[in-house]
Amino acid sequence: MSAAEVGYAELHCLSNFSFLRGASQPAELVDRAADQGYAALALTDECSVAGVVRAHEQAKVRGLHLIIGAEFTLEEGPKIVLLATDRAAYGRLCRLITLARGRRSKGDYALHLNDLIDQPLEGCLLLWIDGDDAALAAVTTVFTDRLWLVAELFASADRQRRQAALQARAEAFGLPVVACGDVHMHARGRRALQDTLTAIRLGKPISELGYALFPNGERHLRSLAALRAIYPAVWLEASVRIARRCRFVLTELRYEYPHELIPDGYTPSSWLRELTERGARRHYSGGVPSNVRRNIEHELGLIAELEYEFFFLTVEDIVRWARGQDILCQGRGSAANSTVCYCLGITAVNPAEQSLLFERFVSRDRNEPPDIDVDFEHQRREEVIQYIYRKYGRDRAALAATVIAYRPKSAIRDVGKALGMSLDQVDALSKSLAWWDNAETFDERILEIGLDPRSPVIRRLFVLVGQLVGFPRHLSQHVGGFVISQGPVHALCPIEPATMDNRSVIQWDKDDLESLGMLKVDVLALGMLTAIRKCFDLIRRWDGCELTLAAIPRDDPETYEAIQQADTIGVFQIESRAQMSMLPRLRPENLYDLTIQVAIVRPGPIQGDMVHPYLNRRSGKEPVTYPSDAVKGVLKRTLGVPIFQEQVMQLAMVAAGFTAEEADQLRRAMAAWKRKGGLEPFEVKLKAGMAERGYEPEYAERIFSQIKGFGDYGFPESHAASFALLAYASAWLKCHYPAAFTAALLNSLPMGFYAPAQLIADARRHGVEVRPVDVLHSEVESSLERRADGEAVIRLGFDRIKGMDLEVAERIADWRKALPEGRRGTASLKRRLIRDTGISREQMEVLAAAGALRGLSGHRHQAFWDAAGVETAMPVLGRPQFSEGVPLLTTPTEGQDIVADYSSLRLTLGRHPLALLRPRLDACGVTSSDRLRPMKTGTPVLVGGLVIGRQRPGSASGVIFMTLEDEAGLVNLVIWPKVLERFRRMVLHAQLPLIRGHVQNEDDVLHVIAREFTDRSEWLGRLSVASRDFH
Amino acid sequence: MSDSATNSLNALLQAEPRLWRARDARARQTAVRPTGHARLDTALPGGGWPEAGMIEVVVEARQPPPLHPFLPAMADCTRAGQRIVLVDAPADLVPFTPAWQQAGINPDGLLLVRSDDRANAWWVIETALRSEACGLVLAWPCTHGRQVDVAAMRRWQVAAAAGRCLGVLFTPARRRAHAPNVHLRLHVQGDRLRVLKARGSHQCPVVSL
Amino acid sequence: MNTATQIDWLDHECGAVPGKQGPEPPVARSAARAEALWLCLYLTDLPLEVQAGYEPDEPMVVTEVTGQRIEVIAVSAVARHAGIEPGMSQAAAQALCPEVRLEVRDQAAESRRLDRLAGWASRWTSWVSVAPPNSLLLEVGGSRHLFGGLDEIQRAVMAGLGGHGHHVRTAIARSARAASWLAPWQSGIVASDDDRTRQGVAALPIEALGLPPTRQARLRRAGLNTLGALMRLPRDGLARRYGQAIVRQLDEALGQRPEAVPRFAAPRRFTAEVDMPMPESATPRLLAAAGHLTDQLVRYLRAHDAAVDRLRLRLFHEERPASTLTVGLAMAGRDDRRFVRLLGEHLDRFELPAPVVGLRLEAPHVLPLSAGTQDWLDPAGADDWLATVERWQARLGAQAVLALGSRADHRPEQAWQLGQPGQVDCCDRPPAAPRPVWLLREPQALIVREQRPTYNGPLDTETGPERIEQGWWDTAGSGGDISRDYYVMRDRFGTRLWVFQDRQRLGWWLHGYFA
Repeated sequence: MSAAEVGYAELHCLSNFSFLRGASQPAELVDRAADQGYAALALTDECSVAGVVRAHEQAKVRGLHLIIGAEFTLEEGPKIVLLATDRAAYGRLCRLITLARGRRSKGDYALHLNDLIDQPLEGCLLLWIDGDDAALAAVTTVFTDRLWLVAELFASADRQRRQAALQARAEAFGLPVVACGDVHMHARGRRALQDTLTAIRLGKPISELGYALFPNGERHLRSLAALRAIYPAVWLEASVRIARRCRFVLTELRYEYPHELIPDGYTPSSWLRELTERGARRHYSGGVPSNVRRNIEHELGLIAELEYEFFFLTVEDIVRWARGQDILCQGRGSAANSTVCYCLGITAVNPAEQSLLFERFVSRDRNEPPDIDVDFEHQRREEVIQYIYRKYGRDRAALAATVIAYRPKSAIRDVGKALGMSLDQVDALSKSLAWWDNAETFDERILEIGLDPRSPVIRRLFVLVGQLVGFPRHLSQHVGGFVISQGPVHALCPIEPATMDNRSVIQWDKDDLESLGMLKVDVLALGMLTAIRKCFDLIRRWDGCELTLAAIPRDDPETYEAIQQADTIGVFQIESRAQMSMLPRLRPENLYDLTIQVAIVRPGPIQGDMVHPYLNRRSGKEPVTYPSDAVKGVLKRTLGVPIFQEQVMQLAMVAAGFTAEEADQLRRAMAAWKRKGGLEPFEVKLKAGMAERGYEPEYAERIFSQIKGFGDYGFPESHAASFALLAYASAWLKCHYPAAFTAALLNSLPMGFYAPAQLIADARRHGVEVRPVDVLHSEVESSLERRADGEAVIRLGFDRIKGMDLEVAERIADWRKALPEGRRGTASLKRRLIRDTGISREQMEVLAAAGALRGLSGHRHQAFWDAAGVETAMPVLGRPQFSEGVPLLTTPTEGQDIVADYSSLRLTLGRHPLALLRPRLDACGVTSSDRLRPMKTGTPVLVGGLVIGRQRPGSASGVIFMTLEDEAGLVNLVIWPKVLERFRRMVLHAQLPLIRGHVQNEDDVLHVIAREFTDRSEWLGRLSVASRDFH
Repeated sequence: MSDSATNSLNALLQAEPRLWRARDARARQTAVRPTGHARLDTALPGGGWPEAGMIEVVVEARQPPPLHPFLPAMADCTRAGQRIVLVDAPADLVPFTPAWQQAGINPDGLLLVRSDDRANAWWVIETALRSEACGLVLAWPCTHGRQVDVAAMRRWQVAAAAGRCLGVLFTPARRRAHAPNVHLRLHVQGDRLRVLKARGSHQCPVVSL
Repeated sequence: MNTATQIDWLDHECGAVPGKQGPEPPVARSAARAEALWLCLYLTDLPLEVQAGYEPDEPMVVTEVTGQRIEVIAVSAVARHAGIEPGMSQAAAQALCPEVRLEVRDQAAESRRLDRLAGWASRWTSWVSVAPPNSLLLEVGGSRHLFGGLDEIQRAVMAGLGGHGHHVRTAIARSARAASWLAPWQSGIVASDDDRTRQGVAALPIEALGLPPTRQARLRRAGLNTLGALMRLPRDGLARRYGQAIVRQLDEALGQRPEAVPRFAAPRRFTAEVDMPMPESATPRLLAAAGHLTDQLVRYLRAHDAAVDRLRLRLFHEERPASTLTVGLAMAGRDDRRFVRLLGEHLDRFELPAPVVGLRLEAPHVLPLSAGTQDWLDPAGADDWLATVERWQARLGAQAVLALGSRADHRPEQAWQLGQPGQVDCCDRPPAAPRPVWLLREPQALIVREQRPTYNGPLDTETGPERIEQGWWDTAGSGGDISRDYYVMRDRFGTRLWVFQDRQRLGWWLHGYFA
């Protein structure tokens, strides 16, 4: 082979998964290597394989030979690369990484020279980049015939000298030399970004880095011509020979489910059938209906064919254990709403009530595991996680990673600092580019914060930020995706410590797992399940009634009436402003309507303009028609309007001629296009396919915009159905047990859209009495008390109080229970409380601030005086006693009490602050919320109130919804972008704005369209009300 | 001569460098410093640069002032905590610190002085040579067309001896007007160093560095 | 020769001298209280007013770094009008008023100014006290009658301070504490007897106590919003709950307990004079006389463990204004020989307008001896060297004597620097690649023949290329963003050259010599 033809394989290449070192995405590196005609590319991130799946996917597309390896800097100093030749070697590499990572905390690792010598690293090739002779001599004995000296030559003055030195060393040790590139970026153009990453890594501005920067941009995938000019041909050839020895491909990874779930005498198949049959008998006591029987047989057949028994059994095992512990849970995800899952108790949604095809969830054609997410009570999920660790052992169960990537805000901050901008400027920049900004107003915003958009620094900043956004920053743990395997997980993928104690994550995220067809069980947390569980408990203690999710009566007309009136504050899923404004129009009457309601108020259907057609068809304003019979088959249940994710996929198949495989690719592209793009080929194909089959271009356009809108937020029908069930259950509880429901919500916060003040205000509007926190009555959490007339009353718990130590709260509750019957004087009770509970002065002041001492001290000022007088207990002497003069303290005014309530509890049970301001508001001509109701659309009004929420639905083209509260109720505002532009500051910051606008009153939904803002926050004095912004 | 007598004489000789010492090898040894170039050491009388004294280096036009013969001596100087002063170095050239550091010279001990007129230039060279803290003075006395005269030279000789300092004068070759009465006169071109004149020697060796 | 020396107590413009307030603060005993009346001058805008070029009508704030945050601590009236408040972050202030002028707080200047004002205020009373950070206390009970009554004093003081460009609030009360509490809140109050002082104090909000915010909040929460509310409380209970200090301070304010008010003592600076026996022009004789003065200066400095960084020699002439020689020292010190040598260098170069009849040596900045000034004190050659350098600087100008430095930067133009001795940094680790001893100030374009650069004829490549492409981030002009391939080449005389090919501008350039 002549020197001009010698090939090259890059064997030392870092991607941006070597955090803050590599400046290119794995896919970019693969593309460039393929373009340059490399024989192969090894991805060798530092002690990591986190980027290999992405590289693998792109390598598949480009037909490039991808090698997997990792770079390490040993504790003793040497720097090496290890490459995996086969499956076994890959497993050893993963174990080595796991070992090295496990020795240090998150993000760091430690590997010793002896690890290379002691570990059986057969099949791993060792590339020696740098290190002293003694260390090299030590490894030569172990890595015979699989050790190379690495030559990394660049345009540098000492190139010739280094080349000679390498040659000499190679001869001295009898080792071959291989050419490598120390690649940090795919192309020279990433030089600036690479420097920036170095600056971020070292925490200094670029201008102060000096020799820590690379002198030039040579560390990219150079052209073959350039490489041939710089390396001797034999060294280049060596790289190709090494590459040939590395035959491992990621698709070889075979994943095995845990086996221990099968009792003796059963096969996985027969055991799954056994459990399914048991469940079926439980659900259908009067005999299994024939269609259900048909479904079961069909599904079990398919499961057996695809060998998914273990997956269903694993999920079943977890769910059964949780049930046994009285932990509420519910499955969802594409496979969850199958008849088998219903029988196994994984979901409570009866699939017989829907007509879903199992193939849609578990497909023969797709080499992809079934998807079941199980939601658990938020506060008890940890028990489930620990159960999984216990059952399978720590080396067989690990959480999937979530790649935390740079977002504009963090990128601006880091790049700005790297460019040497002042902290203030960086701050101002990253703040101003928060959620509301877009490219068109960029110059304006920059000017607004006092910088010049044309300055070179700003221009560089934005180029670099554009490159950096989306770069991985670190690996975090996935919310609950467990990988459980028969053998050790670290033979599949390295495991590394997570930030949280007792947690470890594998180096791949859920997309990586999915693309390799590996199973994960999603153990998720859902606050509403906690709330429902607590509500059941409260009800049981209240009247002994044992409720379960399944025991809640279906189709309760009262519940649906409340839902139709949008009386849904606190109800799962349908409590947001957008949902609430849709309820009176959609008027759900059954669970399926609710399923649609949950799915329709999502970005996909809204952007696809599907909402109005559906409403019109449902109310009969528009005839229900179908462009073809094929489409009718897909869309009949939703009146011809595509609402669910799988309907869109099916449409692509029946209306545009997609194969099942293509439809599935479309679904993945849908989820990823916002991050990666790549939807264009599907657009062309979809529109062409639909035109070919005679569909209107307009219809095709609508379908396509819905596909785009789905993005990450699209709801499959099965998810929607599971959520609808919880929405119904919570609405039912709210309707029939409003006090217990509100107390349960308060005890499950934070969750949902509303703050305690709004939940309590809503309960009071429903006639529920709410009593204040009081040391003589409260429990740790909010509880129910029985009023003289037998009604349930909410007693707020100590956990409402800001700064309250809940252990102290528990002691107080216990102390009170132990008190002998018969009240004593408050002075003596006060002394006993202090003495018996050992409460500190700080905690007494916390109680005083909350007004919780009113039963003992009277008014707040006195309570504070008393609290301030608590002496620290002496170890031996106990608390000193004092007798002192009676203080002359003023009684707080109502306003002062309200301020104090708000600052300690973030709510008041006294008069609403706006009630105090009403005379002033009246003088300005402000209409209160209750007087808005009868007003007609178009009536000009002036409204005002405390801002309790700002929402910006991703779908609604820059509109902001704002909710105001006054003493009579809520006012819903719509703020269009133009108004937002003019009153940005006030919209975002005012606590008490007055808004001039006009009423929009349609279908019982009342909004005020804002036109002009005035900020009157100063009227609130020191009252501070936190609004719940932008969920 | 008894040992003690020799010692006391040596002590006297060392204490008073202005004493003329004929061809006493030992005396020469005490009065030189190694150049750091082995071949150069052997070619020079005494086996090195004079410990204290004046050297003239003749520089060709379009050639940079050859510093490499002196770099090791300069490094020795700063290592010993002594100072180096450059007087009226060519204005279009910058002493490129990283290279000087590579040669082992600590830049903290370096000072650049630029004079405004001849009197001040002569004065600076003299005070630098005389200062005990200063070990090496590199000077370009012929800047602005100035000429070195016998009187100045004599003063510098005395100052160098008093301050135990080596003075190196760079003078342009084309002027053919050499500084009078120097210890050594050298001509350097590329790696070739030719000794044009060495006090106490009639040889004119050529050394390749 | 008649030498007269004095260390005088000046009443204006001074450097910082340790111990400016007496070690034992005099105490206003209750016996002496009978007549005592305190006037507090509270300088609201002092941090602004000490800033150079302060204009009351421009938006300006003074900031201070606290932890990670840059916080606004003083706001001009115009800036306040724009919505800027003390306590805001600098960024917030800029957001509200982009054209606001931002200055960093200069506490040293503030304290100097307070000292100066304290000296000035001594004309009304013998008892002035400085209350940092921004108040002065004047005991005017004794002197009120000399100046025409309290109102008159107050008016005169206000007018005087206004003349100095200060915005001030005042209060007169029976105790220094009460006066300083009252001034910020009740400017202009004259509480000249115990009752009125008590009433004034009682009406103050508890913020007047200047407590940390958390303590203040605790008081407020018990409904204790004024000092009056505190005064109504049982003292034992108050002290036990909110601290003894509050009770003590209240007692002091109300005259129920003596208070300690440190008496201001003006700081010092050194001057010494000598008269010449006859008008004299010869440098040696003048220098000899100056030598006596420096001798005294050194003794003075030793006694006070201090040093000077600047000397001023005033030369008095007959029938002519005095000449002044100002001598800056490279490093603060107190070495006699060095002083004399420096004065000599300066005298040498100074053209006397007339014979000198007397000399005065002034040291306007007497500095406490600190680590930074210590170096030169060790003798052995180093001192001699410094003296030599100072002499060169004196004669040739500071710009003629420069030290070399280096920076860690791949770009040759940025890798070296020149600067004042002692003020240039060096990077310890030079690059490994060959670097030339001489760098051309400006790269010199080379003539290219047959695509090869020439210099004294064709050049031979020795090593290279070394690619240097760096500085994309640099906003400076030339030598900022470079992309070059450097070669070591040899000309026909054997001289090794540093040559680069510019990848942006194309062409070959000579950049240095390895000579």
